Amino acid sequence: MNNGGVSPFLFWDCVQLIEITDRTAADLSELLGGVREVPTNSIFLHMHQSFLKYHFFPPEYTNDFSEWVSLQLGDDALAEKISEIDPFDYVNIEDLRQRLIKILKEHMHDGIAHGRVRPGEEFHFNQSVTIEMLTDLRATNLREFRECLEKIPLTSLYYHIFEARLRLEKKTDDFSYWIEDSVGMPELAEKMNRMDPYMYSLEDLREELIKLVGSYESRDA
Amino acid sequence: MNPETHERSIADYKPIVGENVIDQLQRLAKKLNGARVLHVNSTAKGGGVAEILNWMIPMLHDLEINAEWHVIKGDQPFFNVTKNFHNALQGKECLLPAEDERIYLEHNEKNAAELDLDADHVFIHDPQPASLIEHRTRGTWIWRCHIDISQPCQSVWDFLKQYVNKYNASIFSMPEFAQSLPIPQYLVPPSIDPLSEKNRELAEEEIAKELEKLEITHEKPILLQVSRFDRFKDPIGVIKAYKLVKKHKDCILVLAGGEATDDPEGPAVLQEVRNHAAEDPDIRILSLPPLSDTRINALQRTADIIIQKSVKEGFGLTVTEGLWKGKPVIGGEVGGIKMQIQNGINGYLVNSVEGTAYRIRQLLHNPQMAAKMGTYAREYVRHNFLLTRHIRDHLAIMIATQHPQETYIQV
Repeated sequence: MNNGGVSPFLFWDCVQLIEITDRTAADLSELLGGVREVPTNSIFLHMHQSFLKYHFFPPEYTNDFSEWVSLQLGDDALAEKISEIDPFDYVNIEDLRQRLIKILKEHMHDGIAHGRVRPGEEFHFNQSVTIEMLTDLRATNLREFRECLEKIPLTSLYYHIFEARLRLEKKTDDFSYWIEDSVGMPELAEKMNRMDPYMYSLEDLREELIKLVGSYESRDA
Repeated sequence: MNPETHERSIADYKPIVGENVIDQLQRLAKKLNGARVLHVNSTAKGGGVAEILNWMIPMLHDLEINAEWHVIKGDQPFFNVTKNFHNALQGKECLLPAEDERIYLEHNEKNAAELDLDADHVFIHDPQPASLIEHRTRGTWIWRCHIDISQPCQSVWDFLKQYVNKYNASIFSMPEFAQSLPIPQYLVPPSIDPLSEKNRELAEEEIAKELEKLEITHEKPILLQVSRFDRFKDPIGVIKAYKLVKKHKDCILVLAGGEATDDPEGPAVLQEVRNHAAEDPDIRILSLPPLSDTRINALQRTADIIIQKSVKEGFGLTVTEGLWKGKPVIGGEVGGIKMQIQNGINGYLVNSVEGTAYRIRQLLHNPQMAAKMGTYAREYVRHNFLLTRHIRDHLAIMIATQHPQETYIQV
């Protein structure tokens, strides 16, 4: 429970720049080649950048690989297999890459005929450059934490949920860690950790987090 | 030369994009610590680049960045050479005589002698001033390419590339436009200014006044394509689609374009369009003079459906403008239109006259669905294609170029 000795949660924000590479893929074999060789920040970008775009409805797929395989190659079975990857099952992006490679290889070995896309429909491998900055928002108890959640930019949420966990190879997201370690509320931390952020837009995720934290606020006296 | 820029405050955008977005810009700008930033291009008025710099410079000042904009000088032979460069980079067959190289380099050398290029960050726009990099004294230099150079004429590109390779970084509008370069190539899509004359909110009376001048009434649904009369915009395809729709649903088609004085093919295409429209009083072909921004704004706000049936396109800012007006847009599945339209959500991507007609009919018969798509269209632009995002990317690139090779930068 909060007892005045709680170390404050500092909210960071990030800006993600997209760096274009000249690597493209026009079929599955080239996609596999790219997935094998591109830097990890490219894999991270293509698994997550959809969250930073505004979505009125949940998009069909939240990663670029599934979207391209479905839309351009018309291979929905493969798109579904990739979409079912939960990046949080992996400690780092390298392991996530290996899972992607395995799915692509197995699918190709199944002997399903795959074509090449027309010029202009290729998959473009990009990579991200992330700039992280400390905001002036900080929380020392649950009430302040909820108030900050209401104010932070969505990019801050993206940073603490996705960036910090996968790119910095943490086993949990920043919010759950602080709530367990500093606020001393493991039950709330566990509930937060079990949320499925890949199924929400950032706006919806913010709402869910605010609701969840709000429901525990009275216990943090 | 220091062109005149408009005066709008960054705070004016707060009600449109939210406090968070403005706070983030201020945070980023603070990290640049009042840096001196220089933008150099080749024209003060007309064209997309001048339009961007016109709003960007005062915004940067507002963020306490010491920004300046310089326009290079040149005579007719220089601009003839750079016009040929421009066309060659966009794929036109080319020759590169030694004389052209000499004219290009000499002019840039003269400009370098007259310009104060001493800055922390120098943005050079497009090929015309690219060789100014030879006269760098300090700072990070960024080449901002606004055109599609994915399939350039090789001799011109080889010549320019030797200069581009010396920059710290480059910026392209779309991944497809990029080239194989040894320097970072950042993706920065174009944007629109929601407070500009072409995009600002208009009162009902203002819209009515503009429509009255054009003698257009909104008694029937209005389909609108705004673009110059150019075959790549396929205005004749739009007329054919309209005729297919007309069999099922009465409507008006408005094709509004500029007078295209710099396009030798423009008048011929306009004549063809008029021939196809024949005597149909419900097809309105408007050849609008320059400074018709309020009129275009009023037309976009009145239209029920906006069309951009291009068969080749750069980014397609008319699509962005249409989406921002809260209208579903039916666009050709080419270029930057694909980046802006999420098929079936904020509009439709089409590949044929028949597809265009089919999607128009769907939207006309389902006005509630069209309205929903329009709401989403506006939000998509608010989050992705307004000038605040454009400034954010520029600020971030300035920071990134101070940390070469780093993919994760803590400031």
